Amino acid sequence: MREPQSLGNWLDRARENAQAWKKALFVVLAALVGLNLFITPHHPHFTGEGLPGFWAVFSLGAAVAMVVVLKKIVYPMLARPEDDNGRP
Amino acid sequence: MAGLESIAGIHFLHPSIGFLALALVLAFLKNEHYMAWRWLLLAPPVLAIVSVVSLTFGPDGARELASLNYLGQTLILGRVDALALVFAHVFAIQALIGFIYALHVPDRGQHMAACLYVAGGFGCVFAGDYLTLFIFWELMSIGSVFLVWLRKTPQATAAGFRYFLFHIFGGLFLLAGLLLRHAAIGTFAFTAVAPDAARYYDYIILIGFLVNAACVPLHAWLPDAYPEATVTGAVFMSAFTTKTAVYVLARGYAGFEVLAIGGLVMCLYGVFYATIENNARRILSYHIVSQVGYMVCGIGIGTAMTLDGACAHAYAHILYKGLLFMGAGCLLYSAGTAKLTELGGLASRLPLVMIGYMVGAVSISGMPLFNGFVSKTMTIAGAAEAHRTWLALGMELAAVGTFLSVGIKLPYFAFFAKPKSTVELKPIPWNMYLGMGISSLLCLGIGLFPQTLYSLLPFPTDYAPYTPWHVLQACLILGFTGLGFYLMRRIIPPHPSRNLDFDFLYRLIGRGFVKLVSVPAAAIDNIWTDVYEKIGLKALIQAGFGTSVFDVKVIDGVLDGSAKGVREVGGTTVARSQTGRLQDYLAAAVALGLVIFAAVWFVG
Repeated sequence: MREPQSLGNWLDRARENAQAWKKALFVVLAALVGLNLFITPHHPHFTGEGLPGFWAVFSLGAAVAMVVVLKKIVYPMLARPEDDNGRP
Repeated sequence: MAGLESIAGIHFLHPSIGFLALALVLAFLKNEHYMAWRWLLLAPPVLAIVSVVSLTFGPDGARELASLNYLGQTLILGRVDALALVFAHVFAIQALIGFIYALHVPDRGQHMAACLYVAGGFGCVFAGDYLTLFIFWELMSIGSVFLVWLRKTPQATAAGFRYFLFHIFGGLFLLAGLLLRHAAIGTFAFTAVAPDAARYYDYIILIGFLVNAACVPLHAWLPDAYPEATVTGAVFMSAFTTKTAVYVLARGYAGFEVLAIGGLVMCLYGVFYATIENNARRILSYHIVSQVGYMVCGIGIGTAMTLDGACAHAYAHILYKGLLFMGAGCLLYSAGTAKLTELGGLASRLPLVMIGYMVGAVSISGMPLFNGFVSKTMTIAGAAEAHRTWLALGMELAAVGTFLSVGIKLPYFAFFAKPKSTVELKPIPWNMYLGMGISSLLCLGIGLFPQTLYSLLPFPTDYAPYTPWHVLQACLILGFTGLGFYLMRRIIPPHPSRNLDFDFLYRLIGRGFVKLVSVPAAAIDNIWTDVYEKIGLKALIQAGFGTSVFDVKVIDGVLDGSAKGVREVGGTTVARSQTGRLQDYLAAAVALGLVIFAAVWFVG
């Protein structure tokens, strides 16, 4: 089956506007934190959850820490050839 | 006839019957005519959907249908209740999607394997006793291992053997546990175990279940074998093995603390490995470990809400994980590889595959409007409401890792990352798109109308996923994980390698065992050869002389006639069947076993 070319062309054009997409991401993130000032959990399950921006900091921190620890420390220790078939 | 009956207005056609019958029919069809017979593949899943949906409207409560006598025991093939139905419901739907996706495959062997595998899954879900469960449990192992072997690459053959050995290992735990349990309490009935009343045999059975649930550290068979399976086989495998294990855990072991902790370890372990793997299908395999972790954790916490969450998540997971495997399968089929380092720049050339994959990716990441959001948040909120804050936080951390690796990393490096790709792409058949399309619609539909899923759950629930806070929290988590990826974009690119996991330990133990047996065996063999040469041979020559006289005079006369007959009639067939390949013997054994079982089923 052939994929629709018009959709492919639209995606090609979208990639050329990477800078605009980046700005849009930052605007959306700022808006989310802004909303967090007004919308908070009714029953926080632990101290801190009710603070605006808690989940933003949690997610950003977790994502950065995960990448750094896993790619820089864990990965070099565990990597082996890709098609290793387990033969000695 | 057991399995086909009508009791008090409830019509029960055991869904396994259609799949077993189709496997039998396929054995007599030729690969060359697949364009004609391939439509048959859709019949058993449609029958299964009709059967399961009609059961949904029966009166409430548990029913035991379709029992038969076998080896002096009563096998209950049709225990039907809300817990069984929610799994059977999604199994039936996914079986249809899986066979649509596989409709272009001209290899009847793959379809037979898928049929046996799916039949095994349904058999386990409706099994009312441990003996029935064991029979279908093993059928699943055998069906699925052929979905790996039939890829016919050296890696697939090796991974298939490791997969099968590990499932035999798990199956033996189940068998040992159920026999010891029968010896102790005198019944095979498959009922819930209270955590404080569990005995040693219950824990032995639990180990057997945890092997299939891919609980760390018994999980390594999964990311080892699934990436080596056939393109269409992996779609089936992602749905049935681990989710059948989730079902039996929910049925028998709710409230076990070890599951709550083990589940959280699975959640995190899976995403950690997914973050550093390169093969798209291996990343998705590690994510099965992670997602099943949510379900196992929910079962371990054991409240009505977390059990509902586990069931809802299993339902949602089967749909979106199948979709993700279909997307990665399309890449493998079309571009010839699933390695991220060799892909990239494909978005504008395969936009529909990209969109289908992304629907699965945002579903698994728990984005509002998609099915992962209505199921994952239920489990996490259930954990928090049961005051298991650390478990809830750990699951949120795994959610960050999920979006990071499956939601952004995989699609970014497969579809973007590089300039527009110029590699030659094999056209993807229409049925593969159709399979992805149906899955995408279901992921979106359940996300938009969560009550369609919640109404199937075993416990009544008043959980409302679409509150302003839940939606905002999910958006914050996804948005800022995205920002984290953007900041780390220079560090995260994948490398052409795979990572050491517990399978290394299994291989080490395996090689040690072979040495343990072969070294003493070789030594004994050497000594025996010496003894035989010095003492045995002379005596044997004397005895041989005596028997040869008897042989020539008496035996030859009788045998000559029959030997000639055997050579002419059966010799060639027998010689051809002795291929020396373990795979062939396994297939023959399961065929024979099924014939016997079918005879008992229909006569009994």
